Amino acid sequence: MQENNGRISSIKVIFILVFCVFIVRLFSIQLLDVYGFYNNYQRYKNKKNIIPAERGFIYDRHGTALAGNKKLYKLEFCPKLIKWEKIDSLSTVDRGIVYDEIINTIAQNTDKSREELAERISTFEEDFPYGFELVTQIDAAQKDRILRALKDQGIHGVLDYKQKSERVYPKGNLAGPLIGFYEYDNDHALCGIELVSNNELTGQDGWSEVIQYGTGDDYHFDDMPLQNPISGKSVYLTIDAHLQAILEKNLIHGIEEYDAKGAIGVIISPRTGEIYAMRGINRDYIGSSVRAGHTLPIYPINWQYEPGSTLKPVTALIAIEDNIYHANDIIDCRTRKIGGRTISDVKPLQYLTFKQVLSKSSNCGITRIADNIQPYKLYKTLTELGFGHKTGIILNGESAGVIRHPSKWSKYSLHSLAFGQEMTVTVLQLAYAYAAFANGGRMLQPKIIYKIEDDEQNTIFEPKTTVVRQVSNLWALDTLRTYLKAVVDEGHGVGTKLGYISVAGKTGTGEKLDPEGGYLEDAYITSFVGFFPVEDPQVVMAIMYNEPNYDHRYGSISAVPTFRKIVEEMIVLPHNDILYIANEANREYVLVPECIGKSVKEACRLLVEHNINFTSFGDGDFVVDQFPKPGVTMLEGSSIILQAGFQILTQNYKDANLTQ
Amino acid sequence: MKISTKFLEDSLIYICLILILIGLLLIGSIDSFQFKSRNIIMQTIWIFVSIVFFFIFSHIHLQRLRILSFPLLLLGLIVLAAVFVPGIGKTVNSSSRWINLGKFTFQSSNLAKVILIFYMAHFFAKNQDILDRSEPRYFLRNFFPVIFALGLYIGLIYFEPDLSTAGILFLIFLSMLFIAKVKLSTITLISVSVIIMLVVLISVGPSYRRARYVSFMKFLAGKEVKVQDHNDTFFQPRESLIALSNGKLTGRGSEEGKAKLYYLPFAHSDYIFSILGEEYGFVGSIVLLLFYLLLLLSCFTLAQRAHNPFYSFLIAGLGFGIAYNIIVNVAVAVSLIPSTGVTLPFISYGGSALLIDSIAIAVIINASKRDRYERVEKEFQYA
Repeated sequence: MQENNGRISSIKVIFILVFCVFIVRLFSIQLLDVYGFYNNYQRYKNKKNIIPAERGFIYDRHGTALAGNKKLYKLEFCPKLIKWEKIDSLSTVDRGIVYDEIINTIAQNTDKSREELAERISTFEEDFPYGFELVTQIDAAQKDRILRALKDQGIHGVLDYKQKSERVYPKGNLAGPLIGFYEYDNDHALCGIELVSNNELTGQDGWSEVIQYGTGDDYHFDDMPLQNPISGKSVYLTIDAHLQAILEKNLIHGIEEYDAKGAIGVIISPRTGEIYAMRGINRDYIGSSVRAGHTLPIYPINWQYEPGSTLKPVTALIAIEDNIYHANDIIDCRTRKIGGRTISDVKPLQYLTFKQVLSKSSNCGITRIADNIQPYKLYKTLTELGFGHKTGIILNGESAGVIRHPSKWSKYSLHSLAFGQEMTVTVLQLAYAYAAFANGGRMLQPKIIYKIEDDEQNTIFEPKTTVVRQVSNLWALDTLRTYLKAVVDEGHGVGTKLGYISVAGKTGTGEKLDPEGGYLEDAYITSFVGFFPVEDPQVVMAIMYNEPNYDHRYGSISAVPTFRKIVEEMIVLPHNDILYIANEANREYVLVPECIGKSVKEACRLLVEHNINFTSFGDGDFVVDQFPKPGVTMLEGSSIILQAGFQILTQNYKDANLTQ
Repeated sequence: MKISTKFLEDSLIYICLILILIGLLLIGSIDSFQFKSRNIIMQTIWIFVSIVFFFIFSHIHLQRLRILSFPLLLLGLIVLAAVFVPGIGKTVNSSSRWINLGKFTFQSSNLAKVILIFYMAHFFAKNQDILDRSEPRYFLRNFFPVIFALGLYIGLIYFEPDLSTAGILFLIFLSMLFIAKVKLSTITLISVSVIIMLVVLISVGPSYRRARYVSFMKFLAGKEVKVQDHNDTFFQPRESLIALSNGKLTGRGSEEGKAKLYYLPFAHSDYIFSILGEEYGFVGSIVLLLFYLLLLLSCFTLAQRAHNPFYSFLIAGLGFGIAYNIIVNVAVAVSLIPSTGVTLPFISYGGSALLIDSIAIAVIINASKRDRYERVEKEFQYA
């Protein structure tokens, strides 16, 4: 068909021209980039996706979690991916059945209602065939239950995604203000340990390089760079969760019983300065939400008040130290008038010994003592005991308390300070001052962090016990301790006297300061600060009630019973050797009685009387020998060995040595 | 220097094989980045099917098949109509262009296109006399069977709806009239009337199509190109241009290609050229275009060399069929015409298109060979 040549040739030319147009067009798009699309799109640069690190936990000293994280999930519903293993391809009717099953399963396991879920599905089913959120913010357990139930029924098409993490406080409001609060959503630590240890608790976020897909999804492939997140470190507090719970329970109980506005309790170790438990409770916030409870001020370090009689031992200590008074020196405790001021006691007293001044908590008596000490020394000792400046605890919001320099004192100041007025303290300061009384004058740095562990449980930080300074001397403090023991044994603190443990301490009843000057009427602050066992103090505890009702306006009938209850409950706690130490300290020495020649029955009765255990060997009704020998001193409760035999043999064996 | 006809026939096979391999490579890389393997497996199966049909059609006796041209025309109609029958037809993206064959689907317009070309070649070859009297006033009467068949076919395809395939079918018809030496006045008249019709169809057609044209016109006027909104009507062409622009001279390579990460819809079919442009750059695009140009030039040279008018028309017609698919697809990818769904022969994913294109090449080679043998036989007889 040669005659066609012309037209087909022109067709060829046309095609060549068209291809030339394409080449020119491609040249302008690809090489000249006329539209400016080159490298203008994020998709051509791989994105780094942040992998958030998990925040560290907060534990008590025994590893009970006080703050942790909860992962929240969301479930997505994908109408396109719905499958039911029982049927290969779903008809509209089957689809309805499957939808119902899914709705039922989810409704059973979450707080969403069936109607709500059904409405959500019908609203979004058409527009989002590849998935839309069905339920959000469910925890791992709910998610697992739902997915397992659906899997058991052979239903596919509900997918789970990790949504976010949330900070949880498993113990609720226990030690709330101390632990503080953290908002995961804003990555914001508000207060407490959460804030001060934020650097340790915050982990190091990781990242993964991802390819961005047009669908909006990101994919990470194995050969792409990846940095795993490093979890935050775990912070162990010196707090004992059991003790903290006991303290809080009793404080709340006390608030209710005494109709007080608030209560503060601090339990510390006088040996290491560790805080075992610490809580201030405001009546208005009992039973508040976790967030509210955790963002309250830490009252024990923050709330200042006039300590009242709990400060009398300081004056007494100076008197002892400077040898001004001795235990049995008689002091005039009658109501006295100094200038325009009358100093009196609740119950008028006459003459008391120096020791009784403390145990009966005589205002007049202590002012007589104060008259004989150097005013500056009182100021110096108070300052050395930590009053007037911060204890240095790492928590935020600590108050220093107020104590005036002697140059600014009025003529009443010395007497006022002697019984704890004209100055303010925090309960924590008071507890540490008493800790110094208990441990031989070592002022300790408060310790709230027990240790910090990294994510592989290696201890990376363990604060040492820091002695800030030495106060007074061992001899004076030992004497003072016996006086404080007398307060419990025969004085105002008698309510805390326990048979099996010796407690020393001092009650305090202060009138409450009026913000407008002077004192409020019928508003008292009652307190008791004590330590035990006196022989080897393990625990210092300070209890304070703010405005208990009139019937309970004295420390001895509000703070003291609470103190006693807490002691009773805490000594039976696990991880606790207080009682053992107390018993060891209280054991007495006895003389081993003569048992040789007595019948075994008789010897047995004798040894029980002397509180001595024994083991025996040999046949016969009579004791023929014993070890140790009679007249030796030994600790009560330890045991001796008896050899039994027949009376006739007694003389022969009398000098035999059992140890051979 | 004259290239031998046999060499041209062979080169057609080699070029097709190269193109198919390029296609397989691209589809495979797209699949792997879209976390699936369905497309590459289906394409491989279709390649084997196509090879079988290639051998069948390269040995079929074309002159005897001419007897069946009218029944085939009816078969084409039935196939086209079948897509509208529920259960047989398969609707994707609200277009019913496919026939359901279990796990496979078949685009009926592909088959109809080849049948119509065969019929037209048969008709023009049979009625050589009327080709000389093809002034506009005789045209309708003399070419009535062809025009009637074409009208039915285009009508059915238009209602699928598949405007681009209908348009390509019409272009093939015009081109065949052109090489059949129909008077240019007639061709001009038909073209003008069809362009008017096209404008009317677009303005009364579905809104999505009108919106595409409007945004394309805006694009030509230099506006609205940089908007990034997944619902906008210029979304696909823009994504295609972004992909091409980022290919630069040598391309980003298949690892770094981003358009296939669901940025460009139909990356494996309609817009596969953009993927190639992005990953292998200007060089890759030009090489591919040159392969296609070689294919077309070989094809039309064969049509030129064929002595038997039927063979010549058949080769040219099938050549047009492939050529317009290439041109429309590439033009869409480089935004020279508005977005429309046409596959790139031998490269795009799509079994029926691959099968029909392979059959077309088989028939082209078959026709060229038969023409040579018949010519030799004839010369032998004369001798």
